[in-house]
Formats: sequence, structure tokens, C-alpha cells
Amino acid sequence: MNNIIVAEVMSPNLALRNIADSFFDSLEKKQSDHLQLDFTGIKSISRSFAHQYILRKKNCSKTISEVNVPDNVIKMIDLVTRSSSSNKPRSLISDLNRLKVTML
Amino acid sequence: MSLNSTWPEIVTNYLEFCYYRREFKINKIVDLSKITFFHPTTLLPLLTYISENNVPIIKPEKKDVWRYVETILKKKMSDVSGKSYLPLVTLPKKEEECVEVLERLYQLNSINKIICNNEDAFKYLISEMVDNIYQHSDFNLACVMAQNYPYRGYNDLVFLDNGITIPGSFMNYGFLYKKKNQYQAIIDALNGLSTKDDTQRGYGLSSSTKIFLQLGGEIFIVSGYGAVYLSKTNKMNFNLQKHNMLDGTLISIRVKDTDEKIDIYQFLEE
Repeated sequence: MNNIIVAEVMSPNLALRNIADSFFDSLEKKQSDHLQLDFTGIKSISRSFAHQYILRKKNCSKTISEVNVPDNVIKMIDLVTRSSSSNKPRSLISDLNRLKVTML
Repeated sequence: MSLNSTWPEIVTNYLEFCYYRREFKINKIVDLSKITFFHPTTLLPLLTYISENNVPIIKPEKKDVWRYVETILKKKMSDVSGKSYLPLVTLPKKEEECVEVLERLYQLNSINKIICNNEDAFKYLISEMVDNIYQHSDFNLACVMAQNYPYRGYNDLVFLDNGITIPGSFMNYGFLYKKKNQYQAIIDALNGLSTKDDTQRGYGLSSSTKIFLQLGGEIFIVSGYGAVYLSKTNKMNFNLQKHNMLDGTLISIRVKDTDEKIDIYQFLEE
């Protein structure tokens, strides 16, 4: 099994969809079929990155496991996963459509 | 230059930039001699406009004002740590080169109350705004600037790109916005409309806005012929006349210093 320290390959702060894509593109090229992603040192994750990570992991040809995942990363991944399966409508920033429009 | 004093300051800051842009079109020079203070919402679009169009300028008479401009332009990001400002940072065209830039941008968080107490919110905002620029704008030039004003008690953070605009991005996917309602495109983006075919897209701008409004912030978005201003207590939609429109997108955020700590996840639970 191949152990990959995520913070060293990318950055301690996980952001940008295309960076998640590039990361998984590199994982697909690994020889090993089972990859362990070590999240030691990860400080933050954006919603966009988390969403792209979930999408790519779902379609990845490798078996991916994760270790040492910080709570905030677990929270974000769970949130995006729940949101994907929820039919709840989005909350809007209210009243914008009913405002008078000012010419500037 | 006469400005409506009832408008929020970040709106009038943007109009100051438009004034100087108009002055150049008429007089072929920009006279900054009487300027006594620059906010990022004026300075960032002004500096990029001057650079892109080789605009001759008359420098500010106040030496410290001109020194500030030179610092913002010339200071390297490696010198940011411990400073109250982020110099003008240009985003690389290649997104993979942006990771290092983002790490430098996050360093600003060590400076003041709002950002120290809300590291998650600050990093979230930066990463989502920058991701939107790469995902949607098709820019040639994109940049970020930030300034903390400890004596005034607030922080300004500005993102600017010269891309296809929010209405332009939507129009490429079949959504129609006439010039007189391009502010509607900004509203739709704020409410999660996305050009990408996935229900989990379109969260970045809306969630970042909600987080910073909750922190007492103000947000002013200009794109094409439309603009929207938001704060907790005030919301305004604008149609921009030709001399005030923007070929690109500007997002200006002003947040007061605060001890309040926010849980960003409550704004991401949708």
C-alpha cells in the first residue's frame, strides 16, 4: 500500500477544484492499487475542494483510504456528502430581487 | 467629482476609480496630485488600469500617499508576514502555480482581530473567491489586494479580474441578461445559480457572502453593467452607466475588527 502525505503533495490548506483534479490525476498514475492518504498537517479545506475530492474519489480506479483526517476536514466532507443527497432547497440571500434599482 | 454621500464608502471608492478612468479618456492623463488617501477598492482597479493602458499620471503631492502606492506595487509577497497590508498580488494564469500564492495570501491572517479569530472564514473566503476566478472568469489578469486599518477599525479585501464578467459567464450558457439588468446576474450568482451542471456548484460566492455579512461585513460586487452592495442592514442593486461599467469583476469586502468568532459550517449547511 502506498502512503501519501497530502500536505506535502499539495499544501496544508486544500483549495481550488483543479488542484483536487490534478491530485487525483497523479494518483491514477501510481502503480499501487491501494493508496493511503495521510492528512497529517492539513489545516483547512474549502467546500469546492471537498466537493471535487468526493467526485474524483468516487470515480477513482484506485482504492483510497484516509488516515489522520482532522475534524474540520471530516466535517466539510460530511457536509458536502449530506448536501449532495439532500433535497433541501438552498437558503437565499433575501430580498435582493425586490429592491429598487439605482442608476449609477 | 461629486459623489452621493449616502452611498456606502466602498461604493464611492469604486466610483473614484471610474472618475480617474474617465479623466484619462478625456485628458489622456490621470491627475492624482490632490489625492490624500487610497482605499483598495479605488487603488486596485486604478493600478491595473494604469498598467494595462500605459496611462501617464501626475503623482500625488503627498509623499506618503505615493510611497504607499509604490509599496503596494513593488513589495514582494514574501515580505508580507507581520504587515498590515497585502501588496497587489497577481494570480498566475496556471492554476497549479496558485497554491504558493494562496499560502502567502493566508499569511495576512496573523495580523488583526477579525482575521485571527476567524482563520477558517478568512481562508474559506480567499479560496472560494480565487476558485471562482479560475473556474468562471477566463481572465488574462486577476489580482488581489488587502489592507488593515487598525485606527479606523476595519479591513478591506479586494479581488479583481478582467474576465468575461458574471453576466458574460451566464450568457455563454444561455442565460440572457440585458445591459439594464446585469445586476440580476450578480443576484443569481449570489443565490447559487451556476453555469456548471451539478447541484453542488454555485456555493462559493453565496456562502462566503453569508459568512462575512454575519461578521458585520459589507460586500460590493461589480461585474459588467451591474453592481450589488450588501451589508446586514442595507442592500442595493445598481445599473451602471457606460462610464461606470467594468470589463471584468470586482469584489470588494470590508469587515470591521471584531472579537466575534463565527462557525462557518452553519452557513455551508444547505
